[in-house]
Amino acid sequence: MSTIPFGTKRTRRWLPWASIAVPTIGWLVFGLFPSVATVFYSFTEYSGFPGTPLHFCGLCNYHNALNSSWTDFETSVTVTLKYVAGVTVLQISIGLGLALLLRHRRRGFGLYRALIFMPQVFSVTIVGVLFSLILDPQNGPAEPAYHGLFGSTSAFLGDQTWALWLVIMINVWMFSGYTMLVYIAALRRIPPELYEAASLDGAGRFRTFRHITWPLLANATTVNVFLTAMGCVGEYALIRVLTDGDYGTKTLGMYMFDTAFGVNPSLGYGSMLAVAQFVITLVIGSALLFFLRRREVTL
Amino acid sequence: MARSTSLSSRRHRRALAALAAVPLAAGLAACGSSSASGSGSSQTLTIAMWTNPAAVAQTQKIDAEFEKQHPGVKIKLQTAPTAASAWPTLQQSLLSAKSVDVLAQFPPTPHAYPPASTGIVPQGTPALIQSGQFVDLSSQPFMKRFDPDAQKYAMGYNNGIYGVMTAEYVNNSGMFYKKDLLAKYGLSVPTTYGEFISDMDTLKSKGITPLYVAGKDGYQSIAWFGIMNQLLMQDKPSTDAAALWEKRAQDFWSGAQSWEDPVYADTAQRYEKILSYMEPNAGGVPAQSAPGVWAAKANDFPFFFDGSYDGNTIAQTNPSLNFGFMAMPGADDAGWNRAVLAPDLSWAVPTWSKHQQLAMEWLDLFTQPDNYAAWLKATGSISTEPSVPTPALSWTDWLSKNASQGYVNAEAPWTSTKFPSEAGDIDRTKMQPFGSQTPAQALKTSADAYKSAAGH
Repeated sequence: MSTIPFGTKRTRRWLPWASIAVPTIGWLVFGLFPSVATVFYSFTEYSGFPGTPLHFCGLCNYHNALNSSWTDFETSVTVTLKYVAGVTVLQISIGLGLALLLRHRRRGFGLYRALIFMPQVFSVTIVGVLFSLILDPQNGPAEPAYHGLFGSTSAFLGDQTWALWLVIMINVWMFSGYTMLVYIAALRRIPPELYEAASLDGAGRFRTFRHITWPLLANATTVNVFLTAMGCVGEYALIRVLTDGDYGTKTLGMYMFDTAFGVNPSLGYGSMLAVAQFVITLVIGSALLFFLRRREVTL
Repeated sequence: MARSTSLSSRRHRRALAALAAVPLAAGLAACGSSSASGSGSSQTLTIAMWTNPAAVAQTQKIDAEFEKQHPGVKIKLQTAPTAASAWPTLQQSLLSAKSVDVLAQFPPTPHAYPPASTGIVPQGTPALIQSGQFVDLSSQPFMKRFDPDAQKYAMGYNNGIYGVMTAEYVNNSGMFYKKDLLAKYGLSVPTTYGEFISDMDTLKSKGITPLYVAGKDGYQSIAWFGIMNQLLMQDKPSTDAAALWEKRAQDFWSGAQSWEDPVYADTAQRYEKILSYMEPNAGGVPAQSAPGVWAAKANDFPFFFDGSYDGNTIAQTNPSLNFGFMAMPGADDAGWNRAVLAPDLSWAVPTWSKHQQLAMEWLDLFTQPDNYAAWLKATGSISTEPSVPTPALSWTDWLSKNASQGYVNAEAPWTSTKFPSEAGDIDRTKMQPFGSQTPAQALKTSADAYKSAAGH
């Protein structure tokens, strides 16, 4: 007779179901139900306050987004795409560069890796407030430095030209340590024999990187690009603290949050924006996975 | 093996029973807490307001007095800053959980209820009032302390008054100025637009940056709305304001008025000119620190656009600063440059509040003349109780003399969340000097947005 790892026969019958039931109920209550409710509310003009009428209006919110409010919708989608592209490209490049620099097990490298990863564990609010103080044009240290370098002044987060780029850079500063760690793990899995063979064949650093390192980092690149891009599509918290969505930084996530939970909340319209955000996330995510997976096979 | 299986089963059963007991115990604890708060011996009155340090501190004093008068009653004061949507988020969660008894509101005023023919469904506070979520306070004895017309304008709907407006500030058109700094350069306090520009020209020629504004949080709107109100209200008595704004909303809706009308072009031109004297990096100046920075820099920035609600903060930051407050002169005639009044903190009581009687008693205590006078002194608010005069503070000389000639602020034309954001107002972060749009381009963008949304 084989041993019964999970109690009696009877227990073994229901215990797995009971174990599944807890997360399933959690998912139904906190995952599926709010998602379905969001889609439902997107067909209403509901304010979001309990007790106020729903005002079912069919596709009116979708119609408005594509017609009279198109400018706001289009602007927020454009800002979101710029944000996603900017953060992804910079974070992957910087994360990879740092990984190449700090991949070896040398004295002091552990400390550097920890320091670079550290911003990831800070709360978004702390990072936002920290950079707001640094970039305060009256009292922050950034303004004198900028003035010394360029001989002019800037309002930084209150400047239409700079605000979005600064928010992108702050996001990259916060999360490039994570990208670096994923790349370091992948770099350490590359067999050293391949580098030895390349060296014997007379390959220089660039050719070694291009033909050995980069192709063998394809899986890590897929993970990094996908996670970074998906994390950015719905971004609003960091932007909320830094610029409140002003000066050309209103992403779709900010627009949705402001509409659904702002001063004059309209949960109906905000839900429509959340559905739109979901569709955009799905499209970007699917496209990225398709191209990155194909690239992995090609490489 | 059988023994071990049986033991293991028993352990599992115990573990499962313990797991099951956790939510049950939590539920029972919640029930206990709920019944305790509802019992006569220990009741908790929950009050929520947005963060204004002086107002919160004074409210806490009233709370302490209330608790002393009502043994067994505890007051839980919840606050959140208006910045970064913290206050709307707190308000929404309290309303959703039905766990607040007295709730601060920004008064919606009549413009928040467009005619049904517009198809605009009110959201936010007006939606709450329309759906009967707030108690009609009009018959409450403490309402007799207030001017019924002002209360009706602020929180009225149909025949009811759904909150008591206890604060009124000069926000739009508000300007602080440093008396000693103007005197140092032989300048008088400007009363007209021309004098204002002339003063700033002189100051600029002396190497002084004339103007400070918290542009990161949109406080440049104070200048925009100040000028716009003064130009729209020129030659008209203050009492005409409410009717004029009503007509303006109708005219925008019908297409008889547009953002491209000459009065708005004039507003934009004056606004751009005035802001050309501001601190160059004002776009990065946050509202939270701006009053303190302005107060500390006694020898720079003679003028500062900000609401009267920050007067006491400035006075506390730099007690030796000799400063005043006035309506910025945006029009050419001194008589037209009146203060634009903004109805502010209004207390509402939800209909589902379990402690309505206590809430009414708290409002009665809050509005008692002595308490209210102390509250006004602490906050710098204009009095809304006719029997309680607006207190004279070191910086309120102009306000004490002229606030009575002020009028209520022009509201945005009828819009809804579904309208483009630029339909109801100009996006000043995109317009010069903060953005690249010329005033004419910004006005055209808004005019086109409104026309398209209103179906002209």
